[in-house]
Amino acid sequence: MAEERSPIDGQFLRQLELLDFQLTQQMKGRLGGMRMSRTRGSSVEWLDFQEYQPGDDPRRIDWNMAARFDSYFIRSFADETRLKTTIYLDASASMAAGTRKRQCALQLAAAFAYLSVSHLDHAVINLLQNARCIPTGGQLYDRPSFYRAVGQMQQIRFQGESDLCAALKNDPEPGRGNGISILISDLMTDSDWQGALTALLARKRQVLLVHLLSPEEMCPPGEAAIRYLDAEEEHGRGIRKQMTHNTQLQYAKALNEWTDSIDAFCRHKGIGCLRAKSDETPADILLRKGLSSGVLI
Amino acid sequence: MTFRHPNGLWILLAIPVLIVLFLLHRKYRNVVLPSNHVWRLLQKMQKSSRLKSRIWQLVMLMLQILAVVMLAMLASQPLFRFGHTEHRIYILDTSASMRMVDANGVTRFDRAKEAILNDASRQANGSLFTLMCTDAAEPLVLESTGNRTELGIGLDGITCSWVEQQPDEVLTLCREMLRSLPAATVCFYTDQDNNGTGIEVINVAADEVNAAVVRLTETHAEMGRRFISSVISYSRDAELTLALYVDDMLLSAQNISCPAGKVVNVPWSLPELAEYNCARVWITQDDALIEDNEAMVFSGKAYEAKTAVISSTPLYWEKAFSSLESVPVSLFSPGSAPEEGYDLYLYDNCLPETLPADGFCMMVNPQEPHPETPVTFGDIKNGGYLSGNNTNPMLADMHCGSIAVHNYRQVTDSADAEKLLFRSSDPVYLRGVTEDGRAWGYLMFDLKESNLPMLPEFILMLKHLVRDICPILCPVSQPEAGVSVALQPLHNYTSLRVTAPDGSLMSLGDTPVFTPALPGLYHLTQYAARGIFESTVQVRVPEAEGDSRPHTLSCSLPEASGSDASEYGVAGMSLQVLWAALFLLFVLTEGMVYRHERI
Repeated sequence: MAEERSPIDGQFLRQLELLDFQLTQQMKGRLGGMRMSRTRGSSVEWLDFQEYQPGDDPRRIDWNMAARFDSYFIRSFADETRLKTTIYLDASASMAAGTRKRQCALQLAAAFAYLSVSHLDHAVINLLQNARCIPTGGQLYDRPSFYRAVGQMQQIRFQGESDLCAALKNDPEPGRGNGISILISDLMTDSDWQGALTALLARKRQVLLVHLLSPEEMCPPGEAAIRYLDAEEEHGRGIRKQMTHNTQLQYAKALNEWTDSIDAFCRHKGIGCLRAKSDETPADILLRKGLSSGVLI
Repeated sequence: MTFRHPNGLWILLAIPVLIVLFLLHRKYRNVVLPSNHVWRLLQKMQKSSRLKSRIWQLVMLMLQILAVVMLAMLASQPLFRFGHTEHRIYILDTSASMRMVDANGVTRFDRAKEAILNDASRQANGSLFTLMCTDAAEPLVLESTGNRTELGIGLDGITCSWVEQQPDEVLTLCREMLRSLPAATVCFYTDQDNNGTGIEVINVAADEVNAAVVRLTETHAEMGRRFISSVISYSRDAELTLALYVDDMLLSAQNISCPAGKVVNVPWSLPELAEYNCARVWITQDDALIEDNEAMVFSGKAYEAKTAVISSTPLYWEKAFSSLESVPVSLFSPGSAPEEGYDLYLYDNCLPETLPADGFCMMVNPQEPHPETPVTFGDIKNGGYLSGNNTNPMLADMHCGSIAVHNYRQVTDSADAEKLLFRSSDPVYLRGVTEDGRAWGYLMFDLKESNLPMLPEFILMLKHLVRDICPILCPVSQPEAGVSVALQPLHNYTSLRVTAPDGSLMSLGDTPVFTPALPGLYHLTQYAARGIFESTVQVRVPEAEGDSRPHTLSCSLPEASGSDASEYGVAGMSLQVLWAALFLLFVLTEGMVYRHERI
């Protein structure tokens, strides 16, 4: 219960402050951040020389270059920008079933939000439920807003199914080229998850997929005759199986083929993919898997 | 279709068990997973395999049921009859009880014969008949004939015996025949009920009235004679009139009420009767089996043992022998001993010149061994209390430890002799037979210097000695028909002849074993060196065969055993083996159905 009340602890937050997203492209964000922007600005980060044009600020003329080339050049600096990290959390019923799956999803969302806030970015957490995209916790600019949002995250109800593609289209502030989109989902949906990820990529944003699976999904429990009921299907007939060693092998094979297809899709599209198991701690997932996979630095 | 072992059909009960197990395996426990997405992917990938899996389960269930049915068929051994012809094996009970007659005067035996002929006439042309009887000596009468006339002739040739018979032998033969004729039907015509298997029993017994005098014995009486007759009425209560004949004279009669199935003892007191030869109790009413309506008892007067006592002091010998019946004693002085004509020669403190050839020579306190006996004597030794084995008939009922002697002469070598009494380990009473058949005995102490003449053991010892020399020829007073009796002839008899009630004469030769086949009076004639001796014995109907009520036949076609077991295959398999095979089969198929599932 203590863990339910506090999805993320202080020590882990301090460790998170040492990490950052591995950005593969420069993006155009809002002013006042710590990220290098594609636009020229007033940061101390030298970007290039430009021949002086009338109207340029004479204070930016590099006089050493003028003496050497007998022509005026001004120094241009990269602009520092604040990116927007949009965290899409799959809030379907399947994300609440299984060992610590709900808790792990919330912790990861909070961790990614804190990672952004600690680097002066701002973050948004959107819940994907059925075909809706529901912002929750507001804009997260600083630690107070982060902690406020974390407090509200405990009220999130995971229910129904999720149509990822339709929900993402309903994002009220989708943004374009201004940050990172992180999708936390188990992808166990009949909807077009590939289309959803492609839609995110189409916004010129860096996309990170956190594929969260519970131990029950990776190795279904039970012996002999079992009827597996889907948490998202209240009145479904489920799937009846005689759980044997052979069956387990077949299941593991199907699961591997599915995850391999996800990995291949992400690799092909340039999407970062982080597969997590819900009984692992967020520290394990981010500090170990995140670093080793190159998603974080 | 009939079954040789219908109990094997119990195996079919395993089928509902299999079906219940099959259905139980289809009971699923609910487990909630976050999502069945992967399962659905798996089903899409292998949709055809699911159908195969279900068909496979059903096929394996069918195979299980088929295996159980086959096991049941193997165990119960169905007998298929193709067409309408069949092979019928008739077994006719020829025991004495089949002689019972009904109210019309027809015996069970005749009714059984008629039933067999009727059954044969109902069979289709081309059917085969085998005729057997329960006579163990010759059970197979007619083998595999389709001619009903031959069957009738075969039936006419069977006679009903007077002895008790068990059908085991003929059923064993039946089993042998059924190996080659598995579809044959065995019909047993008898007067017994059946709870066995594999036989069709036709009970021909009716509710006849039958009473019997099962026993007549003489008991002790203060005056005269007293007899006890045991009477029984089978099947129903009866008012009976009994008559007692002594030596063919009617001396008494009684009316009694005899409840069904209970033996009633009827006493007969004849205070004025001194001597008799034969007493007979007779039920005056005729009934289903008149042969068991009378019982006889003979006075049992033993064969007289003529005894010669050669002694200088014979008076206590004479007194002792006078208490024994049928022992005429002749006294002689040592110098005038007879050489022949006696059954027992008793030499007290003296020896014969030669051992007599026709009797037993008993030598008491001899000073030296007789040269014709293979013994050597030692010194005179101090005596004491004697010992002996009471299980020996010669010492029956004797308390040997109470006999004390002052001294005795030691026997140092007595290789072939039978030793009866001992002082320490030295024999003091021994006997034997010379190579030419002359019997001898030694008592190695002086009677006057022992307490033996004052003890009852002295009379008992002489009695046993006399009965051993001259035994009662037939030790069983009322033998049963069909039961062998070992006769006890004189040791020097030359031949034995038996005259049966039907007048037939039979010589027993060297083996004095007498097996009466018929009930009634048998005359036994014994030829010995001293003359010809005759005695009479009544042979009774066996008590079990005299019972007119239907008995319970607890036998069935015997199972094979030993080396035969393998030849009979499943028929010879025990039920445990069948169950074990069934269990193994179930486990194997169970594993195939439920463990090697294909998704």
